Amino acid sequence: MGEKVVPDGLYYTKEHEWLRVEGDVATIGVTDHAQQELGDITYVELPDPGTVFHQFEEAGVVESVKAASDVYCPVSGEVTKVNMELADDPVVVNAEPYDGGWLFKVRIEDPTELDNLMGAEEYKLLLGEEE
Amino acid sequence: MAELTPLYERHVEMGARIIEFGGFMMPVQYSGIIEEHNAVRKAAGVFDVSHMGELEVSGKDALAFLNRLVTRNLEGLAKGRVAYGLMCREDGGILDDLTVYRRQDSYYLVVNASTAKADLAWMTAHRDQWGSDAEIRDLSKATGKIDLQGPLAAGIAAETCPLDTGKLTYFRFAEDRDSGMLVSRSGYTGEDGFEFYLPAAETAALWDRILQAGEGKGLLPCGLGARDTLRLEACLVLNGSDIGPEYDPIVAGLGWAVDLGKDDLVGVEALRSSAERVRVDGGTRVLAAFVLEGRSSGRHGDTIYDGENAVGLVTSGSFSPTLGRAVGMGYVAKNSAAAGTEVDVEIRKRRVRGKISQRPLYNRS
Repeated sequence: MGEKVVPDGLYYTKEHEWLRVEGDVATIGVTDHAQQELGDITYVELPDPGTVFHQFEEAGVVESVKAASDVYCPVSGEVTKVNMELADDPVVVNAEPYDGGWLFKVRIEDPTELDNLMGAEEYKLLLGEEE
Repeated sequence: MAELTPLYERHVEMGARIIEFGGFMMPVQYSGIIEEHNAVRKAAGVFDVSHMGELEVSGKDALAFLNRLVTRNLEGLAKGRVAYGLMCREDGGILDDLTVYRRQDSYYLVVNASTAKADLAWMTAHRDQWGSDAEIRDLSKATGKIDLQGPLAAGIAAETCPLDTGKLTYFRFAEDRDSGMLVSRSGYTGEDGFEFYLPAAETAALWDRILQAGEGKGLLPCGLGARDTLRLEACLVLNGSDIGPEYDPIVAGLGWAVDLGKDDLVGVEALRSSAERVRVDGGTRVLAAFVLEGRSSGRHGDTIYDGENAVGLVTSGSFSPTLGRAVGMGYVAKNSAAAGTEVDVEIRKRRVRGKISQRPLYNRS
């Protein structure tokens, strides 16, 4: 398997989601490590806009040829937008996990919850331990 | 500790993702399951399947002995031919599915990796119980196995295999006593292709020759992931998923591989009853294939509905790279198992529309 890309400036979870904060909106996806582990992604099940999640609640599913894997919402908040492009072209998650492969956006309810997430350096350590 | 195949080093060098399967460290994918799958459908793919078990049965009682254990009638199996069959318990439950190669003076059985030891124990116990002189040898460890599959397989085999593979028609084999190589025209993907058996130490050399001959032609090394999606499209059953002790060959749609006329076949009474039940009882669950409307896939254990009635369970399910939709197989009440029947599969508590399909889901043109 190739090198795992872990961009700086994002938040990360133990379940291998990433989160990018812009104002009060968080964009959420799965990490390069996650997409490599899953292999070819064949289907992405996303929440409906307007759904409200608690932190770390199940929010979606990413299916690969081999298995289905839950996606958890890294912060509490209401879903404002989902990535409709993925319905027909889920392999974008493999190709561009941090860009075109984003999954959904939520309006952050409580910014202090970000303290429960990892930074890039911590996440790299976690990946190192999992090797 | 999981065992290693003669090609393990190759898989590591080539960056395959390795998992444990059937007691062996096996490559599940190299470049990606879908890419490997498509290579086999459009060009060729090469698989390390050295984990499979090979058992040789010889002696003057070999035929009579095997004919009581294997569902297929082997009387008519000529030298140089291969037959698919199953071994069942007294209650008809499937122990394993296998291929039988009729050699000059013995039979060569190719069995699943995870069941090879149990198969050997089952065969040995019956041999002793029946006082048969059949000799059973486990050649699994000494044998490497490579499958070469795809529309370009014949050309690549002709370039790389010392045996005359061009002459072989489907389910026939050739062997070379000196080199210890055996090759059959057969496979587990729904494509044309070959299965090579050879001494463990020679396996890597053939693997390298095949990869070299396939360079620039679209051949890819393939892992068990693509093997699984390919066999699923071809509706070839997988022991442990679609068949096992809880199912018999009749309900699994493998009645064609069972000779119910063999009175001394282990399990024959149960198999005859099953055949009668399937004939008269529309509620009996039989193995059927289905295609779903979207890309989201049912998985082993998911429930199949006909309207409000739960009529079956998924045994294999995956996204089909060839069809671009989710497909699967499962045991479905016979009344709901006809091709064209609209069914739903419950995936994560949501019903997904689909239809029972003809088997196989994929036919090579």
